[in-house]
Amino acid sequence: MSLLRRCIPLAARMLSAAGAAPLVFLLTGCGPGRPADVPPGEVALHPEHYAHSIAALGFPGARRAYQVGHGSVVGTGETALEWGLVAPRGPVQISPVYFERDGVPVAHWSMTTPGQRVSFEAAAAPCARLGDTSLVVSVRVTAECTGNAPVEVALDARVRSLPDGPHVVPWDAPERWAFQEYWQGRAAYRDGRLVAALDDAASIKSDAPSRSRPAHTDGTGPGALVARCGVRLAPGERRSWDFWMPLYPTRVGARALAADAAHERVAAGARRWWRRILTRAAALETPDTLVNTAWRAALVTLVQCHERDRGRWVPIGSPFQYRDVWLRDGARAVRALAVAGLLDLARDDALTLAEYQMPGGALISQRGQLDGTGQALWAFEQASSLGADAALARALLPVAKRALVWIVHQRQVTAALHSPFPELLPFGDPRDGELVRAQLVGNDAWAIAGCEAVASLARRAGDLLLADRAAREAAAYRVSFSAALAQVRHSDIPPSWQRVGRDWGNTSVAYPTRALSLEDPRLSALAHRMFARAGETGLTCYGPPDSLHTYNGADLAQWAMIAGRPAEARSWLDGVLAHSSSTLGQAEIFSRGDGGFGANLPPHATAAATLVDLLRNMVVSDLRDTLDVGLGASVTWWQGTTLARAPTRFGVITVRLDRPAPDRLRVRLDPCAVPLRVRVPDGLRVTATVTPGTRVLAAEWIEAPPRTGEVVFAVEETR
Amino acid sequence: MSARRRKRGRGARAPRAVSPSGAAPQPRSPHGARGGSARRRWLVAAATVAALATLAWWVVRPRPTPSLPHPEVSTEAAAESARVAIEVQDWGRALVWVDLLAAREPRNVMRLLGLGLALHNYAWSGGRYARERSAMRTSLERIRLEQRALELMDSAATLAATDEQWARIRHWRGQTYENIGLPVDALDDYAVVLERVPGYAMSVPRQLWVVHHLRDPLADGSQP
Repeated sequence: MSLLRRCIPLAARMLSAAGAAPLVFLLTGCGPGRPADVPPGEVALHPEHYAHSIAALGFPGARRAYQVGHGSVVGTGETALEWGLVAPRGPVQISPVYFERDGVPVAHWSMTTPGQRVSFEAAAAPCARLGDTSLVVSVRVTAECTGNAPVEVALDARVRSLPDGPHVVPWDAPERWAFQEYWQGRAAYRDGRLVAALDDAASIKSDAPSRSRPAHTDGTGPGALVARCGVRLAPGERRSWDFWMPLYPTRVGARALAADAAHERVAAGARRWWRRILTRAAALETPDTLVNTAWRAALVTLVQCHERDRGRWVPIGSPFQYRDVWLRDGARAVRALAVAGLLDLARDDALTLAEYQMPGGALISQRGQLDGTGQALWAFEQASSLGADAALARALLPVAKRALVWIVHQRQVTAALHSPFPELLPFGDPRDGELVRAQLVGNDAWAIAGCEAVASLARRAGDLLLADRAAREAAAYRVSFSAALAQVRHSDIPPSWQRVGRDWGNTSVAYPTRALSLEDPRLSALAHRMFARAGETGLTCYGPPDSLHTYNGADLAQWAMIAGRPAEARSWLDGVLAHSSSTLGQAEIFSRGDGGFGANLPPHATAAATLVDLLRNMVVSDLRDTLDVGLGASVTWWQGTTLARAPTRFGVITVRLDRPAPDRLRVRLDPCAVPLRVRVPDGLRVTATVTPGTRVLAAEWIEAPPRTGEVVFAVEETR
Repeated sequence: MSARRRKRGRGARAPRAVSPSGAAPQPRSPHGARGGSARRRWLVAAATVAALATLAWWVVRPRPTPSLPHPEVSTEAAAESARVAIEVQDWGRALVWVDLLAAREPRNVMRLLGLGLALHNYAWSGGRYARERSAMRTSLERIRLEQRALELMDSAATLAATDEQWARIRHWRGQTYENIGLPVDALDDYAVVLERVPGYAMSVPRQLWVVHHLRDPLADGSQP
């Protein structure tokens, strides 16, 4: 019995016992089924906005991801397969990497030269024989004669360690780049382990390294393992070759893996699995197809950024360089997965974050990052409230209670010591984006959100005494926060109370932490300062004006939308989409000048998480005690937008926005037990309400009573 | 490993309370006709005494010393190896030797403290000095080591025989919190140390540093 098959029942039993039965299907890999039953995908051609085109082929549970690109190369961080045309008739153009329109991460790219095109399709999926932390990638290479005359196609496939362009070496890669390598049949071996396998039709030179006569290769570039695929093609004719590569070098033989690694099987398995996940998640359809694809791409990034530890899912920061947990990123992932309806993952992630509690009560993942306690508590609450999960609240309450005690004690000590900013958290030295050791404003904002989260969790768990205590602590903390803001005498909101550092956690004081009132004028000043510095990009700078950051402005965009300035939120959204990769992944930081991201490869999970959160809130928001609809929707979105199966604090709902007549806007949704507020899009104004019981609140708002299933109102252009 | 040994030690002492000499004398029967029954009672009593004696012998019997890891390495040599590894900041090797020492002397509080500190050093500082990769792949693994390190220090503090031992352990617990980046948690430890052992030399400067920076986080410069 294979390792994976043996593991699945055990893991399934564990998860089932933990009340996480829906997770079981995530453990079952791509499952059985005939490849012919899975329709192929349509390639989604989006422009590449970065200097290098790189995509991640990963899978939850795997400990690495395949890096596709830059160029015609697929790598594991330890082994790479690179393809090149031999003696091309002219310059070779290599396209960016693309995924499929339905969001499935099956990679497509091409190499084109006069008279011929070579297309690549790469898919990654678990393989039972390789265990549950590895994968296999299969690449189908198809050459086509595109000219009017026959063409000789010669394609070299080389085994190397690392690609030439930007790349990441995984933590568990070897420390020395020296190998004994050889061919065994069409399989490439390094140090006795299988690293890649080629199509049977590939030709290998007779004097190529063999098992009895291996070659010694030093360094990370190409070694001695080269094979050629050659064919003469008539106009319009095609020929394909298949290649595959395990994520980790393996001692399992090529013959044993060949059937599982067959391209039809891997590609169909990947498509089936990812379509299933995306079908289960909340679906967003707007008139803007780029937005729709970006929603799905972000979900794919979030799902593939998961490893497993002791039977639980673990949210990691990226498929490549951030294969680790930061509470500041993990909390965002929990929120995004929860609003996107992937509640089983969100719940499990929240339970994983609880493991970060120190004996004193703090939750900390990285040295000096004191915001972790508030973020973890906030994430607990998100998973519990959006999933209407009282059992989760009860399970997490002991952790939350200890964390609350820790927060209270920290504030008491800074007060007792007559710190210049008393009753706040002490200094932190997070060695991250803040770039400073100081009392960080963001730490306090998150701690306030944490106290509120404890109150909410306690209410849901039935501990009303704790709920009352946590609410009082949050209220007192807000008073201290406001006093510090008054004391600091800053034109907006500084990164730290000592007024030093880079803008980071201070962007979160309104959304999502609600530490500061949404109406506070400092927020407007902060947003203006940060967005203006990045000019027309819609994003924010990080450090020098040439460095743009994708997600650092997301919370201010959310605040702007909630505060009635949706154009600023849409501007940030446009900025993110205009600075995404061709697979709609986002780098964390990149150069405004040349689009370079150095070794900080896309996609980044927090950028994906903030994108999902914003898009969801643009259609439906449950931040207040009303259900707010269409907060960020433009007039175009009112041509027909649907958010289906969306969890809210008031239940799982489907919301539809449309314009049944030029002078009519309509909202249809599953009724909720709370009042409804509908935001009239910029550019239109209400002339009358049509649905009985609804009323115009202000020029931009329609209010409807609880249990309303449809709101229709008349509008006219304002310009 | 150390926990298992402690458990075995406790188990060896408890049965000593059972003593065959404590059995009450059996009354003789005055009637010969009922001698069979008395004999049976006597036999049962004798068998019981024999069983208890056997049990007592089994519990207190001399047993071979349990096998220690790396018996070929003397404790002195292991301690010296640990010292050298710590000196060159090879935290991975230091952990191996300190773990060996703690396993051999599970109730030695300094060994427990040493193991806790070795785990902490390994968690944050990696296998050997200047290694490009961290010792732990993820923060989850790292935090678990820190939690274990703090548990060991707590155990050591509970077992401490003198105020000096206790102060040393609690001081290093505070230092561990300080390294993790939790200054108030560290300060709590320094404060209790100085309350019980006023003027404790190691804790005084650390307490001053933390208090000073809590009042002025920018002291010593904090911007890159």
